Amino acid sequence: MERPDMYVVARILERLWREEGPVLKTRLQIGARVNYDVFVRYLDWMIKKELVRFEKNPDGHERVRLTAKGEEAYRRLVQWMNEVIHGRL
Amino acid sequence: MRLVVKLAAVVASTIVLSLSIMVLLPADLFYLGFILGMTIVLVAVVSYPFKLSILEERNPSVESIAFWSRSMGYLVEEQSGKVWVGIGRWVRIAVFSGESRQGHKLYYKLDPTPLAWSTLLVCLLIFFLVPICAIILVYALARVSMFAERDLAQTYKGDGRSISKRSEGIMGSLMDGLSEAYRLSSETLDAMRSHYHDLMVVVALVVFLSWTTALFVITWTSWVHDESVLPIVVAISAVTVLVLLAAFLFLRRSYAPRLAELDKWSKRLRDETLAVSSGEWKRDDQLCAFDLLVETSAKLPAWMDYRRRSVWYRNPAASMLIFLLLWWGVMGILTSVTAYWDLVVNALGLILSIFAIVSGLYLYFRIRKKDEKEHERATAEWNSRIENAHQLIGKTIEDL
Repeated sequence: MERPDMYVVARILERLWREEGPVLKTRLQIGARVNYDVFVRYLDWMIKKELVRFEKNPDGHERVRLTAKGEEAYRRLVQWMNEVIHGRL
Repeated sequence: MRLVVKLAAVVASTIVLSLSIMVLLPADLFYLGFILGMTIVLVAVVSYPFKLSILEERNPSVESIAFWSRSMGYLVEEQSGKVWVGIGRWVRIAVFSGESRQGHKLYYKLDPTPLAWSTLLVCLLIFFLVPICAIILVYALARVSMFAERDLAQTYKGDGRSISKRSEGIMGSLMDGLSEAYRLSSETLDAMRSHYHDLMVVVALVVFLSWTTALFVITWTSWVHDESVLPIVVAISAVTVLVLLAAFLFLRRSYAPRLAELDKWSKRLRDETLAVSSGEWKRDDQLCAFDLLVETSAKLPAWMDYRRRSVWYRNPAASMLIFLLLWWGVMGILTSVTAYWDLVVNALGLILSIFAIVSGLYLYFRIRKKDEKEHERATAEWNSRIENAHQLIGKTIEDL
């Protein structure tokens, strides 16, 4: 993926940060508001960048978890937008 | 002693004093209302610079108080070690900690908004409005007292550490950004409403003055026969009412959609700030606070433009001066041409009235010109700032 859309990346990161735990892929896709193919591409890209990781569950469903790097990336995004709103950036 | 108790004591003593005066002097209820209102207004004006106590031996951080106030849905601004909390449209309070004999102490100080000062000025100029002004004042101070001395004091009577902890990190930043966006949208809504009401007042004044002038021309000149005066006056009055209604309708059509949109935005930001603070948003799949912040940042230049248009809202003192100069000017012209004094006095009155109108118009256009320049500069700066931020965020995501 050459130019990931910051909105989609931020939505996925925010959804995972809010849940405070691993989230089902389908649920995450609803939060990202993109179709499944686009969502999978974003997820692959984010796994490659170590922002998120997969987790196997005993129920057999694969879940996605936010990594420390992912949380830091989301914190920076929010901090920047906050600075923009305050007119400091 | 609590603010409400102090105020109640002043009001009670004023009632007793006024009743005593009424018994001694011939007076009526209006007189009582005026004295009561004036006393409340004067007491509030004289006492507003003093700092009032909230809690002893407590020193919560500014961030923590700001976070808590935001989570309660108030408009909050952090400035030079103080938290400014907007309590309604009339008053803000500055909450800060200071030294006392027992150690640290949490204080607050009243800060009336420009709207409150201009309302007070209008009430003092139009003296029969003083009791209404006093009622607004008592209501605003009661709300302040409930916020500071009841809600805030109770929250920080415990150690308040859970609030301090929540105010840090991502949650704190999100709340900070959302509540600042809410503050900006809410102030823009107020400014736009104020501009809308200003225009309604201006239209009403222009129509009223045109009507007065038309009546003057008809009744004081010999162009119209005596028997035709009444039908003409009725016709002119009917046309005046129609013009006024049409102008109000036009203004409403022009402003109502924009006001409704801003109101929707403001409510959305407030609701989502409250949802984030209460944790209700965790299960909401459609809500994304980051999206909302980005969308709001794109709207900020337009909001700045709306705020600029309302001179009354931003600069009530200058607006009041302009209004008075124009009002005195028009009234002076009408008086100078209708009253039969000495010719020199009439001429002098006319010259002074014209001078007042010209000064008012000069002041208005000068402020307007300065504002236009400032707005152009600020908008360009904002647009470039937002563009830079988006580029920076986009690049960082690519480089992750």
